[in-house]
Amino acid sequence: MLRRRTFNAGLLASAALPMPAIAQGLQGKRGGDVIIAQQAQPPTLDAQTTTAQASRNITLHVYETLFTRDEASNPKPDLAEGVDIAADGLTYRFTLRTGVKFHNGKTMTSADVKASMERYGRIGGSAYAMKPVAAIETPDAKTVVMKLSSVSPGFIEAISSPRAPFAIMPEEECAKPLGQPAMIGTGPFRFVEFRPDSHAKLARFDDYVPNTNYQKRDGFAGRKTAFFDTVTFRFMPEGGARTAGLQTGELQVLEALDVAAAKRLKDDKNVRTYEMMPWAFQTLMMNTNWGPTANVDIRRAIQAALDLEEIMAICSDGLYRMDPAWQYPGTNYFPGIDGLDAYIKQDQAKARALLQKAGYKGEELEVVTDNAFRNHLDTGTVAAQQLRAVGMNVKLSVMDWPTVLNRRTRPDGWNLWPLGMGIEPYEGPYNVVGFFSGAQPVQIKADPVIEEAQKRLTTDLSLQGRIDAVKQFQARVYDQAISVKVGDIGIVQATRANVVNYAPYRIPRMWDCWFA
Amino acid sequence: MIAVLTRRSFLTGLLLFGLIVVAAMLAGWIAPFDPVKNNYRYRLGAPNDIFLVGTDRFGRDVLSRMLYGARVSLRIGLAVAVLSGVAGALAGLAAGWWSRADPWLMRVMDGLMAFPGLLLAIALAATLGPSEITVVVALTVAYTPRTARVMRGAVLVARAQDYVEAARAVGARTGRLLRHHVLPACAAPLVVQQTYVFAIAILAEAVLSFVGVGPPPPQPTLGSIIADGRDAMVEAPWITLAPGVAIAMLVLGLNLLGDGLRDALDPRMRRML
Amino acid sequence: MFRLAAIRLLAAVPVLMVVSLVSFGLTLLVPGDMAAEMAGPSATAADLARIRGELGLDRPPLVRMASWYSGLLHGDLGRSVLLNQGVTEAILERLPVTLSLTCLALGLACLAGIPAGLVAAAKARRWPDQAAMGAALVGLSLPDFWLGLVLIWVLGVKLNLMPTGGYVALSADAVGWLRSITLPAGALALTQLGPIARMTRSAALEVADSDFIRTARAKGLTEPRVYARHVLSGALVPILTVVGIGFGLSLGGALVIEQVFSLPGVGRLVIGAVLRRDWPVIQGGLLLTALVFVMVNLIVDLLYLWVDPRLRSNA
Repeated sequence: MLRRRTFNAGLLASAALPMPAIAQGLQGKRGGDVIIAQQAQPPTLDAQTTTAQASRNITLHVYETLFTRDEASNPKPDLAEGVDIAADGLTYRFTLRTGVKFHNGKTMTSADVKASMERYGRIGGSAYAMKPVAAIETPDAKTVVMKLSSVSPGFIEAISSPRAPFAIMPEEECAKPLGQPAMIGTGPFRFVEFRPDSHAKLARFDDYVPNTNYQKRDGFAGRKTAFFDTVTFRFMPEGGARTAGLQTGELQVLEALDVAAAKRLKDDKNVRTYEMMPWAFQTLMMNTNWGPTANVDIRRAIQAALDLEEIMAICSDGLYRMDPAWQYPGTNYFPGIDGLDAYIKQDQAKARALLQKAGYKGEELEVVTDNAFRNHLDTGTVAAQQLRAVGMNVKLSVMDWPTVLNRRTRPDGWNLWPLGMGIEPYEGPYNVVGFFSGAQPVQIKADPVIEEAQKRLTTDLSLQGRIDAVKQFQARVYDQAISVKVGDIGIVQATRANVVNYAPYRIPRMWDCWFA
Repeated sequence: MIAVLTRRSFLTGLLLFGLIVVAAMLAGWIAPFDPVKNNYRYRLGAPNDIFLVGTDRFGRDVLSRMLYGARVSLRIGLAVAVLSGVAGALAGLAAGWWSRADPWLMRVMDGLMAFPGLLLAIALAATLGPSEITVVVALTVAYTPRTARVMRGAVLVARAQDYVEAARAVGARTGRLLRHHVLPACAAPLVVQQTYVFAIAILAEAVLSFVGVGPPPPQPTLGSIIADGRDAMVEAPWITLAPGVAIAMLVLGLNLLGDGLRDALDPRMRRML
Repeated sequence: MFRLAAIRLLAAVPVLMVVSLVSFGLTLLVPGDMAAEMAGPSATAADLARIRGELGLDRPPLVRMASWYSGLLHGDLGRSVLLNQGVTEAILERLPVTLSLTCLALGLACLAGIPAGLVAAAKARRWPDQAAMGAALVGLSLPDFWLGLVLIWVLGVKLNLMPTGGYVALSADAVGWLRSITLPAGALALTQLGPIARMTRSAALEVADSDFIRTARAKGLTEPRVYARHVLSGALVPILTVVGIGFGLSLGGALVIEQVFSLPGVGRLVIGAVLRRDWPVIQGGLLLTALVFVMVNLIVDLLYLWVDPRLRSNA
C-alpha cells in the first residue's frame, strides 16, 4: 500500500509544497541575443555523462530532470508533479507533468523517462545513484514507478543533482552511444549549434511548457520563462580577454569574472557583479596508501605545517572564507566545527616534532597537480613551499588534466593532490563522503570508520542519523589527517548592467532575465 | 664605414645581452627579495620604491622573479643552442658528406620540421612531467633540423672545394679530411646559426611556460611570469609588460650579436641565413 | 614543371610518415585518455572505467591504431567522440580560420617588409636603412603571444577599437571577419616582417649591383621605378624562400596566437586534442598541417620556376 509522502519526506521536517498556480508568468521584455563567456569548452554535450561545469552551463538550459534543486539546493520536482514513496521506502511512484513538449515537438511520456533513467544507469556521471533501482515500470503515459532493491534515503537527492544531470531525453535518443544523442530536451532553450573552441548556441523554445506549480524561477526548479531570442556560450581561454569583452560590451554575461577585475569593475556603471560565496571547497587530498603519507604522523605533520589562510588567499585571488567543515554552514547536513581548532592552526614546531616522531628522513613527497584550474595549481604550489619550510622533500609535478587523473587514481606514485570540489558539497554530503569510501576511495586505502559513516549515511532513514554520519566522517578525516579542507572559495559572476533580473546561481541561468 | 656600423650593432647587441646575463648571474646578490617568497597581503601591488616592478598574484616581487627567471631562460637557451648545434652538426655533416644518407636524413629532418615543436613539448611534458630538461629536449628536437640544413649546405660547399676534391682523389682518410678541411669551413655558419637558435629558444621557452609546460612553479622563468600576470593584464599590467620587454631585449641582443658575428666571420653568409 | 611537382609530392610521403610515426609514438607514451576529460575533476576510477568501456578505450593502443590506419587507407580520418564530429569535418571547419590568420599575417608582413627592405637597400647605410632594419630586428625579437596580449590590452580594452577575441566567419560578415582577424594577424605579422625585410634588403643590394640594373638606370628610369620593378623582380627568389619558411613558422606561431585570441583554428583544435587525448584528431590534424606545410613548400618551389626561368633547366 502506498502512503502519500512529500518527495523529501524523512529528509526534512518542513517540506515545501508547490505554490498554487497562477495564470500569468513573469513579465519582461522578449528578444535579444545574449553572449556568455566561459573559460573551458564542454568536453561533451551529452548531459548525463559528464560532471564538467562547462557542460552543465549549457545542458541545463536545454534539458530538465524529474527532480531538481531549488535556490537553497533542496530537491524540488521539475518534470515530475511529485513522487509517492511507499512506506517501506522501496517504491517510488513519480507522476509526470502533462503536455510537456520536447524540442522536436513530441510530447514527453513515461517511456522517455524510463529510457533516459535506464541510460543514466549505464553511462551517467553519477550512475551509482541508479544502483538501488531494480526495475522501472510505466503503468501509464504519465506515471513512472521505480522499484528499489534496498532502502536509499538519498535517492531523490541523488537524482535531483545537477552534477551530471539526470536529463530526460526522447526515448529514441537514449539508444545512441555516449556522446552522440541529438541534443533534444524539454528546457526553455533549444539547441542550435556547437562549434568546438568557438561557441555553442541555443535559441528560445517557444513551445516550452513552464511548470505552473511555481510563480518564478527557484534554483534549477520553478517556473522558467525565456526572454532572450538566442543564448550563445563562447569559450574563451584567456581571462583577460573575457574581462575585456565584458567591459567593451561584446559579452553580456561572464560565468566567472577574475576577482581582481571584479574589484576594479565594482563601480563601473555598465557592469554588475554578483559574488557567490561559497562556491567550492578547496581541498588537499592525501594518499594514505603509499610513500610518506601512508604514515599517519607524517600526514598530521602536513596538517600542522600548512598555513591554510595563505593558500586560500592566493588560490582564490582573495575571495575566500576560512571554513573547516566538510559541509557548508547553514545547510541540512552541517556537522559543526567543534573540536577542529587544534587541526587548522599552523604550527611548524609541532610539524617538525611529528616528522621526527615518524622517523622522516627526507623521503620524497610528491604533490601532483594539474594546470587547468588555477586554484589547483596555486594550492599545490603554496602547499609545497610550506611543506619545504618544515624540512620536507617535496616534488611538485604539474601536469595536464588527463595525466593527473591517470596518476591520482593509481594506488601509488602520488602523495598530495589539490582538488576544488564545487558541485559535490552543493549537492549535500553523499558525494563528499562517497568520495572517500567505496571500492576506490580517493585516499586509496579504505578507512573502516569512513566506510561505516558512508553506510549509515546511505541507509539511515532519520535525518539526525545521517547528520551524525557526516559528523563521524568529518571527525575521522581530521583525526587521521586523511585530507585537508583548506577553505571555501567564492566566485564572481558578472553581467552587463542592461541584463535585468539576473540572479547568480550554480550556472548563469538565462531564463527569467532579459535586456532592458 | 661598414666596419663601424657592424661594430656599432654588434656592440649594442653585446651590451644588451651582456647586461641581462650579468644581472641574471648576479641575481643572488642584486635581487631585492626572495623570488618565491609569497606575501598574500600585498598581492598585485603597483610598482613603488620597495617593489620596483610591483608584485604578482602571490605578492612576490616581480623584479626579483625577472632576475632569477632570466637565469632559467638563459640556461635553457644555451642548452638548446649547444645540444641542437651538436645534433644538427652531426646530422648535417652525415647528410652533406655521404650522399647515400642524405635523402633519408633530410626526409626525417623535414618530418621533424613539419611537426610543431609546441605540441611535442606538451606531449613530452605530459609524459615526463614538465621540467627544464623536458623543455630543452623538446626544443632541441624542434631546432635540430634547421641547424642540420645549414650544416649540410656548408658541408656541400666545402666538399666541392678543389683542394678537398683533390685530397679525396689521392685517398686522404675521411676523418682527417673532415677535421682539417670541412669542419673548420663549417664552424662559422654553425656558430652564427646557433646564436640565432639561442635567441629563438628563449622565445620558445617563453611560449612553453606561457602554455603551462615550462619548469614547474614557483620557479620563475620570463615566460611563466607573463603567464602568471596575463589574467590581471588590466589590473596589474607591470607583471606582463616587464618580462616581455626583458625577453625582447635579450633576444634583440642575441640577434644583433648573430648579425655581427655573421658579418665578421663571413660576409657571404648573409644570403644563407 | 609537372615532373618536379610529382617528385616533390612523392617526397612528401616519407615526411608525412615521419610525422605520423612521431604522433603514433606519442600515443603510446603519453599517459591518460579522453575519459578523464569527459568524466570531470572529481570522477572516480569507476567512472573512468565505465567511460573507457563505453568508448572502446580499453582496447590496446596498437589495436586502435591499426583500425585508425586502415581507415586512413580508405580516406577516413576517424571520428572524435568529444567533438561529436568526424575528424575531417572538424579540421575543414577550422582550416579557414588558421589559413586566414596566417595568410593575412604573411600578407601584412610582405606588404610592410618588402617595401621597407627595398627602401633600406636604396638608402643603404643611411638613416632610412638603419631605421627600417632596426625596426625589423625589434619586430623579430618580440614574443608574438606577448605582443598579442599587449595589443588586446591597448587596442581592445584601453581604446576599445578592436574585439578582444573570437572569430567571425568571412562568409557571415566580411567587416566582422576583418576586425576579428586583424589583431592576431598583426601580432603574427610583426614577427614575420623582420626576416622578410632583412632578406629583401640583402637580396636587393646584391641585385642592385648587377648589369641589368645598370642598364635600366642608363635607360633613364627613375630610382624608385628601378627598385619597384627591376630590383624587386631580381630579388624575388630569396624573398619567396623567406616567405615560404615564414609560412611554416606562422603555422607554429598560430598555435599560441589562436589561444590568446580565442580563435577556433586548427592549432587550438590540435592543442586541445592533445590536452584531451583525442587521438584521432591529433593524428588527423598533424597529418593535415604537415601536408599544408609540404604543399606550401612545393608552391614556393614552383613559384621559383615561374619567377626565374633560368632555374627551369636545373629542375
